[in-house]
This record gives sequence, structure tokens and C-alpha cells, in this order.
Amino acid sequence: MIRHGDDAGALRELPPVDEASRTSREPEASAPDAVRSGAPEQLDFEDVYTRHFDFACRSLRLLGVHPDCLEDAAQDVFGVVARRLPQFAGDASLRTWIFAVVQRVAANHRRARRRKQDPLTPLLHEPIADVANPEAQAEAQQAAALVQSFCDGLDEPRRAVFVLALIEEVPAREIGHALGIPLFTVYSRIRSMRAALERFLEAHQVVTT
Amino acid sequence: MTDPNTVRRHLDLTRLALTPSTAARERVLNRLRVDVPPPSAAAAGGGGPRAAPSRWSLAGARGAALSVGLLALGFSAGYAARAPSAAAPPLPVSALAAAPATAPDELFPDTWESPPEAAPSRAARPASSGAALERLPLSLGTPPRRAPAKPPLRSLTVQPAPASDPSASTSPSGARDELALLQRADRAVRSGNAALALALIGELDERHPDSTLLEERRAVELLAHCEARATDAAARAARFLRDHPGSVYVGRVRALCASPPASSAEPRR
Repeated sequence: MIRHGDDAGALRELPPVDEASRTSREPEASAPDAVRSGAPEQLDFEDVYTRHFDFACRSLRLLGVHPDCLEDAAQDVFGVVARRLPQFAGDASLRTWIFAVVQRVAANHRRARRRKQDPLTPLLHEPIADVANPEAQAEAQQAAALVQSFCDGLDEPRRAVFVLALIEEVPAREIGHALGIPLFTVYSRIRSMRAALERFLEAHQVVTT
Repeated sequence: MTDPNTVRRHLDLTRLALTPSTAARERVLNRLRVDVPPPSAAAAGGGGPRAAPSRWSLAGARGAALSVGLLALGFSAGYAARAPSAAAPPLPVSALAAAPATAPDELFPDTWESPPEAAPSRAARPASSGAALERLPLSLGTPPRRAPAKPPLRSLTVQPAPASDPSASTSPSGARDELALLQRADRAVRSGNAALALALIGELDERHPDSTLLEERRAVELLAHCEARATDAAARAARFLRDHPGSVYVGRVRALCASPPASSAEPRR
């Protein structure tokens, strides 16, 4: 991922054509989920759930699932994962495999926009777990609202790249493989969306830090 | 202009704000434990619940609705499923008892196919690049070629180009070719071979006049001029820094192009 201000130069961060690359710091739970992952029987569902629940919820939210429906959607996602995990062949990253399920569930929820008869506690109306300071909470919520608003204006292919690359920091090669787009296109979209987000924040008169 | 750190900070805060709590994680897991026992437990012979229709009693209606909705959505291009291997265990039929008669493999991908735009073998690429390179002037006295005012029609191809048209930057193979050349040029600059770098940039201008990597190309070209101590390197650098203040090349340009240009008494290489 091309990052502004990096003195090392962009090209060194672009992979050689035939090599895998990492875009930035190690994302959570990356090593066991790599393309070389083991046979499905080695994957424990609760372990998979624990490692990918946060990722799935963030993605659901940014793919347009209403906060009040988020718990339903998360249950749908991992219900599918639980059922299909034995058949995961390990040909792709587990994380991007789960993201494929997330996309479908999110699309379904956006279309339906229905609620369960017994409303559950909306996941993201809870205070942010690791932020105790109310001011910091407010700042984080405000930032998330802006980014969510920006995300809502993206078309589906770009929104997927945005979520995977800029929020979840999935390596570009993994994204290209998962979404069926060339690596070059992934990099191009990442760069254009960073620039667009920058303009969006500027247009909303975000005070620079 | 927004500070790039602001973008990073917003992304980090978004990630933080959208991360669910541990309590929420437990709540959803508890619901899943009621509805769907872990496949690992079932595979280990945990048995019973897997066959019990009541396992989906709470989620049965949701499962059916989900299946129908997902079927209606269809697949995006990148998720084409391969036929399941013969060794794959069959799906539990009870899990879809309430769903319409739709093969579950049509709804969810098991494995990934290679993207349709997967690049063909690149064995021939280095040779053709090398042959083209030999025809280019290597002397610094020859200015690098500029992009033609009217690009050739072959570069305007917008569909995935066949292997015979690798120069189209919009095609995946053309994009890979361009990226490979640009990386070679960058390596040449880093190793002090400005002449080679400029030759490669010239080839890029000829073969890929339209590109989304023009900033990178111009930056590498500038660095090559600075490496060669060209007399107009400082002016070029100033222009680049003015036009691209947020570029990732700013540091390298300032470091390499800050030295005064070679004096007129020194012979040109």
C-alpha cells in the first residue's frame, strides 16, 4: 500500500510482479490464515470465530449493515462459517473467504432491513471497549461516522477494497485474489480512495492534527 | 490540504470504534452454540445435534430466508466456485431442511479460481524488454523520449488485452509489464545506473504513454537525472516538489537532488 510521507519511495512498497507482499503491519491472525493454510479439519470453529469476529463485524458495518441488525448479521455470517468450515479447502486466505460470506450477508441485510421480533442489543451502540475517556470515545465515534459516510458513497467493488485494504490492512495480493481483480488495479484503487478520503475529510473541514 | 496523518488517524479511529466488545462477541457465540454446534465437534463424532432439526429451529427460518436471498444475489465475478472435490464431506442435509431446493455449493464458494485476468506466463517478457532496451540510446546526451501527443490506438484498448498487445496499460498484462519496467528503472537508479534508468523510462513513455503511475515514472526519471548530476536537475526537482508535495518520493528527491549540479568543466557522461 502506498503511504504518503514514506521516505523509502513507493516502488519499494510495490511488490515484484511475481511475489507476494505485505502492505503494512501484520494484521491480526494473518499467519494461520495464509494461502498455505492447512486442511480444514485443522481449523477449530471457535478459534476461527474468536480470531475473525471483530473483522467480520467491522466489515459488516462498513458494508452498510445497520447497527441494530449487526448482531443478527454476525450470527448469520458465522452460522455459514460454522457449516462450511469443513469444506474450506485452504486455497485462499480464511479471512478473505469469510469476507466473501460477509459481503453476501451484508447485501442481504441491506435489502431486507428487517429486524428480529426480539430486538437484541445493538452491537455498536455500546461504548468502545478499549477507550475509557469520553472525549476519546466521542472522537472515535465521530471519525467512524465520517469514514462510514465516505464508505457509503463507494460502489461495491471499491467499498470492498476500501474495507479490506484501508481498514483491515489485508495485503494487496490477497485482496486481488479474493476479489478477482489484478494486483495493479488493487494498488490503483487503494491510492485513488486514499486521495478521495483525504478530499472528503477536507470537504468536511476536518481539523488537521 | 489535509495532512495525510489525518487520514491515517481517521482510519485507525474507525477501526477502533467499529470493533465490538468482548461481551458482544460472547453473546453472538452463545447464540451460535445453541443453533449450530461447531463442525469440529460434529466431525469428532459428537453426533446427535448435527442431525437434529431443532438445531436450526431458531435459525431455520433465518437460514431459509438467507439462502433465498443469497441465491437471488448471485455471485460476483471473483467468487466462481470449483466443483467440490470428491473427498469433501457432504453437507448436513438437516442444515438446509428449511431452505428451498438449492444446491448450497451454488451459494457459497468453497475455493477460489484464479482471477480471469490472471497474467499469462511472463517467460518471454524479459527478453522482449531487453531487446527493446538495446535499441534505446544509453547516452545521457539524448533526452528521454516524451509521451507522444497522440497515443497510438493500441494503447487505448480498454478490454483485457490478449497477450499479443502487452503495451496497453489498461490490460492486466500491460500493467504488469509497466510495473516491471518501472521497478527495473528504480533499481537502476538505486544502484547508480542513471543511464539505464533513463533508457527504461524512455521505453515506458513509448510503450505506456497513458498510465496511473505517471507520478512514479516522473519521480524515477528525476532521480536518474539527479543521480547523473544533470545541469537542470535542481530545476526539475523544484518543479516536481511543487507539483507533488505529498509524494512518497519527496524525501528521496530532496536527498538526492540537493547537491549542486556538476560544473560545466566536468565532462558529461
